[in-house]
Amino acid sequence: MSMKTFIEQYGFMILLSPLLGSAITGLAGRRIQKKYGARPIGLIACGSVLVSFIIALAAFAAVAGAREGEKTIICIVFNWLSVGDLRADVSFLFDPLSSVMILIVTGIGFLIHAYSTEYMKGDSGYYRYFSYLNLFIFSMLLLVLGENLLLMFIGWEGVGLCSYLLISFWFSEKANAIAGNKAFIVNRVGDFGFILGILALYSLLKDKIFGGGLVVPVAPSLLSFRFLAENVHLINNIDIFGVSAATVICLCLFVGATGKSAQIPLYVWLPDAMAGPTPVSALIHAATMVTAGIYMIGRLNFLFSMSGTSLNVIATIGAATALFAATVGCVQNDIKKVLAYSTVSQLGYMFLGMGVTAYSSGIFHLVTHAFFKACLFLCAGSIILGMHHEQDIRWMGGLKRYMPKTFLTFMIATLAISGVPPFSGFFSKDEILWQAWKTGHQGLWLVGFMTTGMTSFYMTRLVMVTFYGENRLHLRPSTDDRHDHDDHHRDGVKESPSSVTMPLVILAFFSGVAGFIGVPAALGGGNHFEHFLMPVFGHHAVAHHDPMEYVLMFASVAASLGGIGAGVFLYRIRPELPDIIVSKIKMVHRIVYNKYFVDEIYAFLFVSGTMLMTRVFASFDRYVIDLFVDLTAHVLRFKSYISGAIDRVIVDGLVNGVAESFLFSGSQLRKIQTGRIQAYVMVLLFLVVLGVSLVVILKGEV
Amino acid sequence: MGIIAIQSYLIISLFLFLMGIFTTISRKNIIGIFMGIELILNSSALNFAAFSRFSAHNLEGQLFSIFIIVIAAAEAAIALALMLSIYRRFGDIDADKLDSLKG
Amino acid sequence: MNVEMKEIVFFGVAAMTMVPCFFVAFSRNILHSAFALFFTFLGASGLYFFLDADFLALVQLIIYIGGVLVLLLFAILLTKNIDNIRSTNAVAAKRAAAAGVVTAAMFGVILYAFLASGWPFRHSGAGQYPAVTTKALGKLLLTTYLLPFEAISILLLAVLIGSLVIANRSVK
Repeated sequence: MSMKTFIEQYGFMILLSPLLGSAITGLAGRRIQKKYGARPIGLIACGSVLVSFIIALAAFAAVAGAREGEKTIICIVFNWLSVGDLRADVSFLFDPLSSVMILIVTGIGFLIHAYSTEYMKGDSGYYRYFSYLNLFIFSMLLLVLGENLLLMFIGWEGVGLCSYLLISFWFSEKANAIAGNKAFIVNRVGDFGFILGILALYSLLKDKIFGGGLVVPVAPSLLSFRFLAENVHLINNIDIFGVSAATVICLCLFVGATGKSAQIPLYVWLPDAMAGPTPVSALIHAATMVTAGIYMIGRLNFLFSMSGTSLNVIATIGAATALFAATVGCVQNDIKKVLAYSTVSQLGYMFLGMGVTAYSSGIFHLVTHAFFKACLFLCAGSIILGMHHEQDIRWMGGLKRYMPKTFLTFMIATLAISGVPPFSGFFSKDEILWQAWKTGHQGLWLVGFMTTGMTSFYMTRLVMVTFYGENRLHLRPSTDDRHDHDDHHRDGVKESPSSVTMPLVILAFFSGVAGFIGVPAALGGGNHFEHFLMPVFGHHAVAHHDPMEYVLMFASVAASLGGIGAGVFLYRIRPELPDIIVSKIKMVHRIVYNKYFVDEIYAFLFVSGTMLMTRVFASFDRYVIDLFVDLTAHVLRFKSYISGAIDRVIVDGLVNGVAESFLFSGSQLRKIQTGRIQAYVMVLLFLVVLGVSLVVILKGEV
Repeated sequence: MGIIAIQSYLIISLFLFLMGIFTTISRKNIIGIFMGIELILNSSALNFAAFSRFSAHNLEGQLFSIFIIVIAAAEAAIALALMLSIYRRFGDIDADKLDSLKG
Repeated sequence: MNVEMKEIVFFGVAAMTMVPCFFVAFSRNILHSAFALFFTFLGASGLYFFLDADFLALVQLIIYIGGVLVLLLFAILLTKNIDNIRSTNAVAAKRAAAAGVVTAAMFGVILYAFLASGWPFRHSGAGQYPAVTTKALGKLLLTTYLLPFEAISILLLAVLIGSLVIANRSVK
């Protein structure tokens, strides 16, 4: 059996394995944990992802080994829906794009599973954690491999659910539960846009295809990506409210992408999502889930390419987010918060790449970013473990001595994210910047360029403050309930065990070298990555050598080195300077430190807006409606006074007589009220007969 | 025209309907009354299906029949529950004795 | 007169539907009534087959005989002592006379309606009646009649819960 037929027939196993793992650990985990301890649970969870990873490798090999033009393998599992004109299959699509994605998801996913077995040790919810984690891998794979938009949407919702479950994993603390809620609700806003986009696309295409009286023997699976790629041009000339349909659909889908991939204006959940366990942050909020939006745009690139407007919006929002998040990242004190804003910023880069139609560059950055960001987060987790759950970098310092392995890997990842050649981040980031420049978005290039400098600055700051200098743990203002704890652990900062550092080393290795899969032609490389993805994204015009490319490359290297230099200078050589600068620009610092008060603005606009509205309505009730009611009451009172006078004198005599007669007839009539249901039925039927007869008699005939 | 025509169906369903009415009115036992109601429902479902076949030539009448049957099933479930409830409360299911609403 | 086999069978099925009605209406034993009802339902199902309504016929079999009738038998079982069952389905003599009058009146009205609407019956419409109805019905239910379908699903859910609540309520 060739690799290709194997994937065609058994490709779904890649999804089944983590789903099974999740079911076992979720349904029987509590009992297993009680009886046999945590070990079997970790083994099941890691094993299931390992199986997925092996199949992903096979799929990648099959796709890479296939001949040109046959690089799409479809694994049809069963016919899912077939109702009227709606048809959808459960089938999975393996092509260069998705095979790269599943390698990332399962590969990094596996490392993080392995890491988690150590990190979560001793937690009473161990089985629950791994069940969620496996479920997450399943949802992400469904999102990536789903062959139509419906499956993708299920995966899309699935990762949202898992991220909710994992962010509020330690739900007994209220802040965590709130962070989970926030992530879920903000994602919901995005998902609404996403499903609107899907529905608009579906209804327009359906009208076009079935509207013309065309009779199709078997309804085509309208939302499958293959069908869309071939037929999406049908909606080319449709306008919705004067805007081209493609733009409307793309913008709706992009709203979904901003929700999941944490872009302005829906990025607010990601920094709060750091409430979850650190491996979760690494897996979900850095390496995989947040890339869903990028992946979706890449997958639907033929649709987005139809709408220049939406591409511009995407590129602009991406660049704005990159810069915005980088500025916030420069001043945060929580190590995970810094990394979170860095993630938001890097995602902005990817969207910038997508927006300038450099899809393969965007995906390239996605891949390299997955490695170095996962590495950074796992390092942070290792530091947090070593520091006994302290996350504030102000109380760290000097960790280089205690945690050499963590330091080394963190260093490599930092260089990678800063864009120092030859580490991976350099190639991918530079590719995006170059594409932005080449397609005529010089302004966006400038923003990206500035972000490069800032990125290397805040990452250097993190390294300097965390790993160099003196350990400041003893300076931490301790609260009473933590006091004993602290004394016990104060000098116990030590390197994490090997199951933690092993994934770090692997990830750091890839952060270092992953860039070489896409060395641009200008540097003598073949840009294999772009060639590999070409079946999905189509051909780029072969770039003739442009001296500008070297200039830009040099500029961005200079920017990142400058950022590093500034970071070293400010936080290592003259550590007193930052405080002075902060005191000089207190106002600005306060605004940036508080994340531009975006959360507060949202709270003001949406939360208090609702409250205000209720108050307005309440006062409307009190002053306007009540006034009318009172007025009416007064009028009525006056009127009743007059009529009362008339009543007493004239009517009463009459009424009493009538009342007497009713009393009498009532006492007679109550005998009819037998309380027997059948008597009522009888009367009813008699009346029917009577009515029909009356009609017949009056009209002569029916 | 053979005897498999709409007239036959109308006659059958008329017969079922009249028998249903008679049963519903004359019975003492609630279960008996319930049987009468079932007969009435059956007759109307049959009528819908017959008209659907012979008159409209489409399936919409049959859909109505299906809805009637489903509602009959729902009614049966509720009726059983009510009968049990009544039986437990009054110790009897004679309709004549259930006259708490008598004026 | 040329009587085909099919028509003889039809006549038999019609008789099977109508004759047990008398038992339902007049039998003094409620079990006999229930048993007669079984034949009526069975006959109605047969009549549906003659209407080419295969799906409907099966639904009639499954729901009426499998569901309603069984529920009915349960009701009999749970509410009456089995030994005095002979006289359980009594007819209220006075009301029976009234019922006869009502029934006769209804008969008159409906007969009049039949005659007034032009007996023998006029055909209208000339659409093609499908040979197999299940698929077409399913399509109708999930497209044009989706709303009633959903509504009736909710009704069934309400019945499910409601009957449990009613049957479970303890007597105070």
